[in-house]
Parts: sequence; C-alpha cells; structure tokens
Amino acid sequence: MSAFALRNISKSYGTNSILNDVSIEAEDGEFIALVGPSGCGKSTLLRIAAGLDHGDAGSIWMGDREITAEHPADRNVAMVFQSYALYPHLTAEQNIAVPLAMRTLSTLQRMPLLGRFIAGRSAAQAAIKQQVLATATSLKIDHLLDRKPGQMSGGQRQRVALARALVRQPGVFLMDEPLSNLDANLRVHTRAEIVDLHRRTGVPTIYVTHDQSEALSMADRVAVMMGGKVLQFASPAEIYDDPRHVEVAKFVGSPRINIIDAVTADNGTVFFSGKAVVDGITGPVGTPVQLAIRPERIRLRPQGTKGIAATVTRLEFLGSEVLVTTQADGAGDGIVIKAAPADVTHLGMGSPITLEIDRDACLVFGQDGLRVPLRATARVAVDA
Amino acid sequence: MHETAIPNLLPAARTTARQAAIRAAKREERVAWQLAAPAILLIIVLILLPTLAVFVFSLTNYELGYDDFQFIGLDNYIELFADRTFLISLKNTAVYTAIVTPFSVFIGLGVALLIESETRGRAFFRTVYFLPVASLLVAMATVFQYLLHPTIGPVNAMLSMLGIAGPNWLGSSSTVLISLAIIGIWQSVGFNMVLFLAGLTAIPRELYAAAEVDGAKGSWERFRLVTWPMLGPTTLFVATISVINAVKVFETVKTLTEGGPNKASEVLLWTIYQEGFVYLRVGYASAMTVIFLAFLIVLMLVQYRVLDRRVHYT
Repeated sequence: MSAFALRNISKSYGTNSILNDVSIEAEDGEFIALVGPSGCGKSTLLRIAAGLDHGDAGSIWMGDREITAEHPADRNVAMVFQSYALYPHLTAEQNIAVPLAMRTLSTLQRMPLLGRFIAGRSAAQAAIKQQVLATATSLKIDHLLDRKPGQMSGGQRQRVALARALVRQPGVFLMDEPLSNLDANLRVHTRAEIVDLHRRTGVPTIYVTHDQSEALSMADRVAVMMGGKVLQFASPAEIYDDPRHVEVAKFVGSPRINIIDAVTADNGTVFFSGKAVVDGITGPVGTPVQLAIRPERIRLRPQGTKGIAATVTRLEFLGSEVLVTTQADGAGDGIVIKAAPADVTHLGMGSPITLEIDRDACLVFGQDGLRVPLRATARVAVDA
Repeated sequence: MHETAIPNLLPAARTTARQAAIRAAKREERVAWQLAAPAILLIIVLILLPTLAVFVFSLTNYELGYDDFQFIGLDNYIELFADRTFLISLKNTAVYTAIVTPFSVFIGLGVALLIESETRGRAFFRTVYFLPVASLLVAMATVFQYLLHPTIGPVNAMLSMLGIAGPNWLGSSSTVLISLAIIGIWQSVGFNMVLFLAGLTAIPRELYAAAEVDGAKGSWERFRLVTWPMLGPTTLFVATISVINAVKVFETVKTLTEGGPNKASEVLLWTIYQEGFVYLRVGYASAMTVIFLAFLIVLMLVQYRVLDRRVHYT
C-alpha cells in the first residue's frame, strides 16, 4: 500500500475534460514529479490532492485512509505554492506558526485580545515558538524570523514557505512549481536543497513542474502528463531512455529528440534517407511511423563512410559540447547531433558528413503515438 | 613643449564637461517648472487662494451686501465657542458621523463579501446596491419622508402590525438624528461596497488556498487570516471617505428637517449655510468653515499617519 495515492481521478469543466482517469501513487519517502506542458492538468491534479478542488470521479488515499471527501485542513497535507502565498501582514515567524496555531490553539485562544485570558494558551504558544525556531534553523532562516515577506528576497520567501509547509509533519508534501519564480542560479541551488530536505524528512512528495530537467534531476519517479492523461509514470532513466509515447520522448530531453517521418517496408524495416535504419518492426507493412533518435546517440563520421549522408547547416558552441544541425535527405527539419567540441573542429557550414546511427538508439512510434516494439531477433541496422 | 601641454589640457577638459553637466541640469529644471506651471497655477487659483480667502474673511465682520468691513481678529472664533447652536451642531455632526461611518463601512464590507461569494446574479446585486449612490438624494428624500411619515408611512404601518407604536421618525428630536443616519447609511453602503469589491478582487486566490491547507476551516477563520488584513488599505480608504461624506451631510437635513425639531438635527454644513446664505454673515460662516476644514484635516492626518503604517505591509 502506498503512502499517498490518487486513484482514477477525472475532472471536467463542462465539456472540457481536464483530467482523464489519472492515477498516481507515492510510496513512503518517495519523491514524485508531475511534469507536463502548461494546461496539461498537473496543477489541477495537485489542487485535488490538497482538497482545494474536487474531481468528478476517483478517490484519494493517505495510506489506508480515504480522504477524498475531507477538508484540506483535515487531510494533513502541506503545500508550497508558486507565488509562495505568504501572509503579507505576518512576520516570517508568525507565517510559519500559522499551521500549528490553527491546529493546536482553539478558536477562543486565537482571539486577538480575549485569547490572552484563555487557559493553556501561553504554554501552547511557547511550544509553537520552539517548533518554529527549530524548523527555521534547519532551513537557515532563523535570522529572518522578525521580517515580513515584503522585506525578504524571493529566495528567502521561498524558504519561509517551505518552513511553513514543513513545520508540522505532514502526511504528504505538495509543491506547485515552487522554483519557477526564482532566478536561474538560485533555482538550481534550491533544487538540490529541496531534494536534501526531502531525504531528511522522508515525507512523500508530489512536485509539479513544467521543467523536464527539474523533474528528471529531482524525482524518484516522474509522471509525464499531457492533455489530462498520464502518458508514462516511471523512473527518470526509464522516461528518458524508454519513452512509451512520442510526446514523452519529445517533451523530455534537451536539445529535443530528433523526430523523422518514415515508412515501414517489408519484413518491418524502417527506411530513412534511402537506408534501412532499423528492422524488426512489428505490425503491417507500409504504415507511416516516427523514428526518434536522441541527439547524443548519433555519431559524426567523415564523408564516404557507411551511414547516412548529410550536410552541416549550423554549429552551436555550448562550452562542454557542440550542437551540430545537419540536413539529410528525407529528414524534414534537420537532425541535431550533440558532439564533443574536439570532434567538430574541422567542420564548418556546408561540410559534408556521414551520420552513424545505432539500431538500439532508434525509438519507433506508430501513428497513435505509442511505441512500436521491436522483435528481439531483429538484425542490426544501417546498411550502406 | 609638447609633453607639458597634455597635462594642462586635462583640467580644462574636465571643466568643460562639468559646465555641460551644470547647464543640462539647469535646462532640465527650467523645463520641469514650465511643465508643472499650469498645474501649480490651477492649484493656487482654485484651491489655495479660496481657502486663504475663507481664512481672511473669518477674521473680519464682513456681511454680504455691506461695502465695508473691519478686521476683528479672533472675535468670530470666540463667539463661535460660546454659540450654543454651533456647539449643538458640532455635537450632532459628531454623533451622526459616529453612527454612519461604522455602519456604512461594515455593511458595505458585508454586502461586498456576500456578492463576491455568489457567482449568480453578481452584476444584478452590484447594480441594486449601487443605485442609492447614483440616485439624487434630494429626490429620494421625498420617498423617505413618505416612508417615515408617522401616520401614513409604511414603516410605522409595519411596526404597528407587530404591535409596536412607531416613533415620529423625522419629527421627534430623539429620533431625528438616527433617522437621518439611516438614510445616510442607505446612501453610502453601495459606494463602500464597490470599493470593497475592488479590494477583494485584488486578494491573491493562492492565499485562501494556503489558509485552507494551513488549517483555516471555517469562513470566519479565513476572513481573519486573509481577507481582513489584506483589505487593510481598502478599509482605511473607505473609512476616510465615509467620515468625510458623513461630516458633509446637508441634503437630507435641508430637505427633510431644516435642522429641527428644536435644533436636534442641526449639523455643521446646515449651520454654515444658515449663517452665510440666510443671515449673510460671511465672516462668521467663514470662521465655521475654517473649523470644519481643520476638523477634516486633523482626521486625515490621524488616519494616514497612525493607521497607514499598520495596513501596508511592505
């Protein structure tokens, strides 16, 4: 049984379907990333998980307790928002204390003036203060406790928001693009900090992002969502190397995976630029397929060697690597290759070149976007 | 010779640059004054000079129609604070303001919250509540005169159905101020509601979501944690406007009660109007106007100096 599970969630506004039978579960201590382009339903799913929104169908489970109908306050979930959503009139300390005060103090004890005279308030408040301080210290924001959100930088506000979520041990941590308001440098830094924090607390986390590199680098498992559906829910390596859907392949990885339109020939061979690139395709002959190859899985060879002839159309120097855009017959928009700088010093615009492609680097997708499995007995590709 | 010439050139060049900078700054200042001149002129002619004129008149015994007047120093002010009518008028204005301001602010807030939380008919209710603001109070006063009429008025008719003998709303000195205050509240609730609605839409939705996740279950708790503090600047502004409008009450008094009965609805503007336009004692009315202005300025200062710091959080 998983620590937190969303089962068969569907949601639509009128005829507009936002979520379509989505299931995600997090094991104890697991970090799950929900990634997808904007409008794919990932934020709605997170709001449903928090109880801020309700699905039309499906159930939500915290361990063996169903919480589908529970109020957000009763679910014991903690959430970090994109805008941080700190209360601007409260200091950092008071902000962090809110979830504790709401739970441990009664309504009477929280009354502005009267509360002072209700029994047990000062003891409860001292306990809260201590917990707040401990959390703040662990996030290294104890020196900011007296400041109001308006007097803090984006990164500091972000930490206060994290502290507010962390201060009571929640059953699950929900994060809605918490890094997207930070500048690029701070984002990479905070990324590592959130992962550390997660490892220390062991609270299962669902992290929503539209940044595929964030999802791959942080999560134990990634759910790629598109059009209200989970296309694939697997480990980052599996998502990258073994995408089940052409949209997953296209969404994950930078630079983008090369997609080449091709047709299967007899005995399931795929031809590209007049060369048989891969065979062993199952399914009928003559169907159009999409051939997807990661930029780092194509090697550049001198002109005239065995492979696919192409011409260099652009070179982009990125420091540790060079992106070489080439044009080959029948390759549409061109093929991008990631190469080491030392290997391309002799190349210029218009240089003729040969592309060498391994068979196992080729991912073949059918017209419905799903992966076409290869027969295990298939022969290695690229005849000359 | 050549080598010595170069170091000599440097200070000269620096001076030229500095002079150019000074000239540019002067030019900019001149343009700034030119651009601001129309506004400055209008402020002087339309606001500062009339105010100064009122202040000067308040030190004279000028009466409209007489050619001649003398400066009598602070005599007008001394007379004012011995004038029973003026003191009653001050007290009545204060009572009226003390009733109208809190009720119109909090009812306006309540109506705004109700309209905001309801998706259906929002535009309808907004329009209905705003109608009194757009309507002409002098015209509406006749309606209120009928409604509150002791014998034929529907208000007392309804009260008598419940077995309560309704008071002579506008005709009795014990209820007249409350009756006027009710009309004042009726008129200003809609305006305050519109301001609060604008303030409510500016509150980020994520704060409410955060409050719910943080454990604010009930709407009262969310109001305490998010709505009320976030509306701070709006509330301050609404309260300020409400006080100013309440202090300026005149139309209902003029049309319905003429300060009566027995000076029970004598308010500041009515007294000023009587002295200035009925008895034509411009000097004396000016002294009252100065007091009235001072009253408003002090209120503004208190509100903005003391409260402003507590409602803006950045």
